[in-house]
Amino acid sequence: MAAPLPDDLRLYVRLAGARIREQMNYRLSFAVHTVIDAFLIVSDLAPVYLLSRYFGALEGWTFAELALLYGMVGLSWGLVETTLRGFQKFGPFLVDGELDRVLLRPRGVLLQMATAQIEARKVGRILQAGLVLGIAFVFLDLGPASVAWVALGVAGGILFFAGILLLGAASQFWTMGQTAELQNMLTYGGSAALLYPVSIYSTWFRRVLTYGIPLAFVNYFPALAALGRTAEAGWPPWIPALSPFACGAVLALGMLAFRRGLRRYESTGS
Amino acid sequence: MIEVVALRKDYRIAVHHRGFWGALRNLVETRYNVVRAVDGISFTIEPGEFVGFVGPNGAGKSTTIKILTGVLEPTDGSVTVNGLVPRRDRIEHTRDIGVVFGQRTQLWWDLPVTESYDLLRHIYSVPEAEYRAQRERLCELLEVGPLLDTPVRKLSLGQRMRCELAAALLHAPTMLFLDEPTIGLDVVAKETVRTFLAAENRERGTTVLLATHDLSDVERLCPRMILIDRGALVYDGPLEAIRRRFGAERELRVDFEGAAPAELPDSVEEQERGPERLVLRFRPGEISSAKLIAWLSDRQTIADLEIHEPPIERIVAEIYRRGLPPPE
Ligand SMILES: Nc1ncnc2c1ncn2[C@@H]1O[C@H](COP(=O)(O)OP(=O)(O)O)[C@@H](O)[C@H]1O
Ligand SMILES: [Mg+2]
Repeated sequence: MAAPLPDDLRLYVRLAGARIREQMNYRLSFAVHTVIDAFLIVSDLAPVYLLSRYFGALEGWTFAELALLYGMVGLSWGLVETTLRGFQKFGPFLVDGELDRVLLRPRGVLLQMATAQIEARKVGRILQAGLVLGIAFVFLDLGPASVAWVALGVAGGILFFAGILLLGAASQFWTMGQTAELQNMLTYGGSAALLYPVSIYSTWFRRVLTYGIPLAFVNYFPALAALGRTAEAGWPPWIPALSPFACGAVLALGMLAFRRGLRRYESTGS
Repeated sequence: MIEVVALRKDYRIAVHHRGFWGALRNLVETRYNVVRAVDGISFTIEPGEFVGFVGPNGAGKSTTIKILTGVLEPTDGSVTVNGLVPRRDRIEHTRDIGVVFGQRTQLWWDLPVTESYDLLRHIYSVPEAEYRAQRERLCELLEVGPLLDTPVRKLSLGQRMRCELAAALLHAPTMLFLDEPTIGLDVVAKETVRTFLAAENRERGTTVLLATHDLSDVERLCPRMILIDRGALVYDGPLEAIRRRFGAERELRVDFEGAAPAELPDSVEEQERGPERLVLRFRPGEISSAKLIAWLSDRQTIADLEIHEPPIERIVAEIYRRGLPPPE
């Protein structure tokens, strides 16, 4: 679990490529899923648009600003879901005993796991999120400093979601694949909750999102900074800068948990 | 050198609560049942040996191999392979071993075999020139060449096993661990695999540990046999010694092109009789199979025949009943 070396990176690309070529054997399913995914953006954003349109801005957030929030989460989650999908599908992987094969090879477990289930069609999600983000930039007329804040938020989001995926994967070691539900709830539920600024939620939920699972650091705080509204929202100016640390802590926790889980791995029959 | 000292492995099987909330509960409180799969086994294997690792189903063969290959941590006892502790030194250890699990594939299911090989070359960081030479050699010996462009999922079991063996040796390991590689193979495929393994061991000095419950694998390939049962070591030595003591009995099944002979040589025991069929038990020490067959064909034309070894389960039962042979 050392820092990825260039050689590891090259192997990652190769293994991911192999996995994608494998999927190309099932072209029809690939095409169908890509089309379905393309509609998700509509189903995600339509309620946000309707809400902001008919009920006025949400707590002072315009639709363009909400789209910025969406784009940030969408981009980091999309990147993580595409590149580290193996961890999301870890339960079945474990139950099938495929981890044995990974352990038999002289390479890092995380590296091999990450590529085990890569799905090329998820790239569409990344492109959509990027598009939404780009449009939000134009409408909000953001300067370079703001863009940097957004980039920081997206980077934090990548660490955060990677950490959540690892935590979920690690829990499978204790429950032998039975907590896949829990993991989906956290990731999909998390990214859904983040469609809206956390300030709209009730106090206790907002606290959970800020101090518990630090989802607020993924998009809310960096977006506040990008829009120059940190003080207006009642937060000290350094709060958004904590984003990479809060999110990094989640990743560290995930790696720790995964390592502990791996140590108690018992393999499966024959 | 492989050194196994007082190896023990307990599996803890979690008693699960069911359903989604049950799964959450499992995270908090877990109860376990313990299964002792390996119970105090010790042995040493020198470089270049070809050892048969034999035992009935559930004896603990796969578990031991998983510990030796670094997949599982022992519960107790110690395992070192060339001075390395397999699980602790996993990366260094796996660079130098080849592993084949009969029931599981190493290859990429939906890709042509050749792509799997290329990926393995990168996983093991084998230099290009060495890789080419090794691959060409293996493809020829295992007759894999014509299969290279076939997706793995379209291979027959025998074809796949040949491809798996080549895959496991592409990085030229000095040790080979095989878990029931001949299971389910037809006679021809079995023979190709056995001939290949014998040659690898003889010509390249590759150490081989072959887990099997088929004694004919051992007879053909292994000067030494380690026999385990219910997690414990029962016998470690040449198969011949065991044979001479109990396993000598063979079973002969003959189909005749007419009525089966009525009388039999004295030392032969009749198991089953049909109008044109006999199933006999005999000891090669008392009458050789050649003699017995000649005796029968003098009396009636033989249409077909098979000779069977006693299954490993019967030998184990015999050892329990009558004790081990004295050491040579
Ligand atoms: N992953 C596992 N979890 C729990 N029990 C197992 C596991 N693998 C094997 N066992 C049990 O351990 C014993 C030995 O199994 P195994 O090593 O597979 O034997 P063999 O390969 O000789 O058939 C059996 O009782 C088997 O049910
Ligand atoms: Mg087995």
